[in-house]
Amino acid sequence: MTKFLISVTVIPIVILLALGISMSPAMISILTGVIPYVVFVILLAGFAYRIVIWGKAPVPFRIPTTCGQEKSLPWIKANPVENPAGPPGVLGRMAQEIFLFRSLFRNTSVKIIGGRPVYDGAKWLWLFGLMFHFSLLIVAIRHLRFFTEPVTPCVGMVSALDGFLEIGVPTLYLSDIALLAGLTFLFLRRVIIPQLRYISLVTDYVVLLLIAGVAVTGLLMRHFFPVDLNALKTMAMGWVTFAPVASGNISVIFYIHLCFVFILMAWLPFSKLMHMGGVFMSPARNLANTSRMKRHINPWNAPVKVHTYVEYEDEFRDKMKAAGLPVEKE
Amino acid sequence: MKTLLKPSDIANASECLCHIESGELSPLPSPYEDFNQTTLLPLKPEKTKNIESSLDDTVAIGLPRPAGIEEEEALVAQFLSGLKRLFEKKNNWTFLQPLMLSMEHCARCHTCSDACPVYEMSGRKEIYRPIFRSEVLRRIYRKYLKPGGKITARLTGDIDLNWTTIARLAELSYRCTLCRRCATVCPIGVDNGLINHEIRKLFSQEMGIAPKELHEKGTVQHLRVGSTTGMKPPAARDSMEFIQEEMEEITGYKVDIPWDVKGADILLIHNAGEILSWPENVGAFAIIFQVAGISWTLSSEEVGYDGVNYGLWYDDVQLARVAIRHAEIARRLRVKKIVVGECGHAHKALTVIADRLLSGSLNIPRESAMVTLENIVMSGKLKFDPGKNNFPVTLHDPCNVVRAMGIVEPQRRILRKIAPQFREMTPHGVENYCCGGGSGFAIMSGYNFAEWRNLVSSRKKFLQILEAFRDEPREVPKYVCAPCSNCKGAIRDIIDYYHAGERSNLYYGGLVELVVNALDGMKKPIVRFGDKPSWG
Repeated sequence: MTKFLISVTVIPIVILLALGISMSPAMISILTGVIPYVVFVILLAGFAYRIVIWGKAPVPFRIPTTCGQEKSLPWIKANPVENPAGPPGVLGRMAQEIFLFRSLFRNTSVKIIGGRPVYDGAKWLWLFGLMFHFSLLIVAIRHLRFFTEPVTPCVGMVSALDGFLEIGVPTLYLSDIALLAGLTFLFLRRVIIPQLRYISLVTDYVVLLLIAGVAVTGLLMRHFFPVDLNALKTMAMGWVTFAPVASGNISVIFYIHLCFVFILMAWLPFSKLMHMGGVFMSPARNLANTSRMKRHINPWNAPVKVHTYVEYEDEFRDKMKAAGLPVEKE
Repeated sequence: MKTLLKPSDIANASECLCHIESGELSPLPSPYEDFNQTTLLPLKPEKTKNIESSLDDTVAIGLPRPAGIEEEEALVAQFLSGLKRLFEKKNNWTFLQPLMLSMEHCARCHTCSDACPVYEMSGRKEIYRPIFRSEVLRRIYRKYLKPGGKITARLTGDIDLNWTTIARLAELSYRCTLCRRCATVCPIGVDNGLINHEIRKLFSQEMGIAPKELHEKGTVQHLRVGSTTGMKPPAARDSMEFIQEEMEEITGYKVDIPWDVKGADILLIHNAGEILSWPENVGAFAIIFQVAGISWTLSSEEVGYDGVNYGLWYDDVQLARVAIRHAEIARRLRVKKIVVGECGHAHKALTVIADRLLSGSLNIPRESAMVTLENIVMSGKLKFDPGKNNFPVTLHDPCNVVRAMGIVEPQRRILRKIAPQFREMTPHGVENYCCGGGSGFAIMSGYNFAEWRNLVSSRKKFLQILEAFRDEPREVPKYVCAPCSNCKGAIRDIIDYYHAGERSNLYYGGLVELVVNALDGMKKPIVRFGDKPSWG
């Protein structure tokens, strides 16, 4: 529990930081004029660094987990996606992994009912995990309306769809509900399940809390403490056009929101959130299972000078014969 | 509520980190309830006086205790430098990327645990969870190898690195059968089985620590004598002649077992355990190949009559040495391809992993016996009377053949054709459970390790087998088809340990025995249930 308590302190720290910043116009202009670039550079460079380091590591073996019959003799029905034999299969598999969390869906639980084991799907994590990640994506897409002028049409469409229930003014977005529900589930699970609690680290909680901080302040701004959207848009457009504009004091809650976002972004490359990029790299998923079909030459070996037995015999055949050693070719 | 063991607890010296109390193991159904209170008895103190045994109730390696604090510190330093090398491309290119990924992006979502049969059956003992040892390694790696690790350890998970940690981690790496079931459910593809393999490798390659059954009496003996069983070439030849005579006596069909035939189409490599423990398997292969008119041979050369490659489980270097010997023998015999007999890990070692080692003329095609057999059985050349196999049969899926390679269907197509009462286990195929003898466990029996295997790691398989035959009356003989020597060994031990022969009329064997049993032209059945023939 102490780990959790330590991690909770991140919330007041960020809030106090933002409050402090909002007191001084000079600090505000740093937060809205310089920090965004610093954070963005850290995010991009850190992300790229991680991916490059992983990408440079050798993957000599085809070791995908095989979740179906591999491509074999023509009359044996293969499973091209669960055990891909080439790029289309791998693409299908990765798409399933990334958009549908296919592997997580495989999770089962066993219960002993009436003296016999009953295998049942354990899909709650899959459901809430999927909800959480998709709503994050939608929220990110919706935010593009601040960064594009004219607003990219699909952004408007996503927002319209997201708010199609038209509850309240301004409209309540479904993705916001889903995001909070997902977050709550992931968080409660981590706190309640003892086995999960003890492998949880301070950083695991902090990640969730930071995202929660972003989401809650965002919702507060939208529904309870409206901010000047025109000023926001001007500022955001200033960022993307590399001409930051002084925005004046927008609102404290916005600065808290911004602080959470920046901290999350800057920390992302150093945290487990890198599974965002890592999931694409995992050789357990992104390789075609062609071990038996194709010859895979290992490109990472240092060059070795080989002297094969055949060459050896060619070189020493006479001497070998003279010494009475058996030779393969006479 | 009892407090759960944490990864950091591994560093705190105690007599025993994890003890399974009586009644904690997952319960067994009738008529095996009397085993429900059985648990491992602590090893006698005089047996463990000089070895490290503080992990749980059993011992797999039997590490000698260091003489003093200096020796302990030297070993810790050796471990750390080995760990460092494990993350360098130059020293460890084999599985570096998945190892790095797992160190850095595991999201700790807890999905892998429910997939692990050892964890589940042990009464959910924390130390057996797939993530437990990975987390220990991860914390050591972050704290002691990453810059600033000692400072961030408070946030990213603390652990003390001392000799106790290392001794326990070494033992703990031999509580996972490397079945990779956990890897198939990980949403981001982290492979805890593979990390366990890397831990074993670190201990073996960098510190010379491995169970003697795998190393001294395993790969070392294999390379020196010719077989992990200790069988030398003359003994192998004698055995093959003996099997040849025996097969005629058993089936009434005269078979010739060819060996060292140059230029044959197929070199069949068996696990030498078959030659010693299950000669009918070797004989059945010979009968099928002879009836099908295939040009084939066995090798009686050192290493060539033993297809195992224990290096797969713990040591890349030993794996390479053995694999190259196998390929060299095939090259000298000038065969068109190598067929790996009913041995799971030999499948993976020689067909998948050895691929990167075999260059030039050593690159001889290698194939699974499952596929060869499917080809023969389905070709129509052989006539079968499936009625002869009219007894309940279930199929065990060896992890290395099925989950690790994706050879799922061929063996099933054969069984559907020749075994009318074939039924699947739940779950099966790529979702199968390990026999409990994987990664060398079936041959490891020092101290009370065999009992640990029967009670804990094989328990899931035993439950699955019982469940598959649930609706069959006790007196009906039942056949567990396990096309892998290692799995057969584990299943043999399960049947012995739980007296399942007497209580459930449970028998086991390979796939080829069933094929020959249903084959036309055999005068007598090759499959027997105790004294009773399966037909006729």
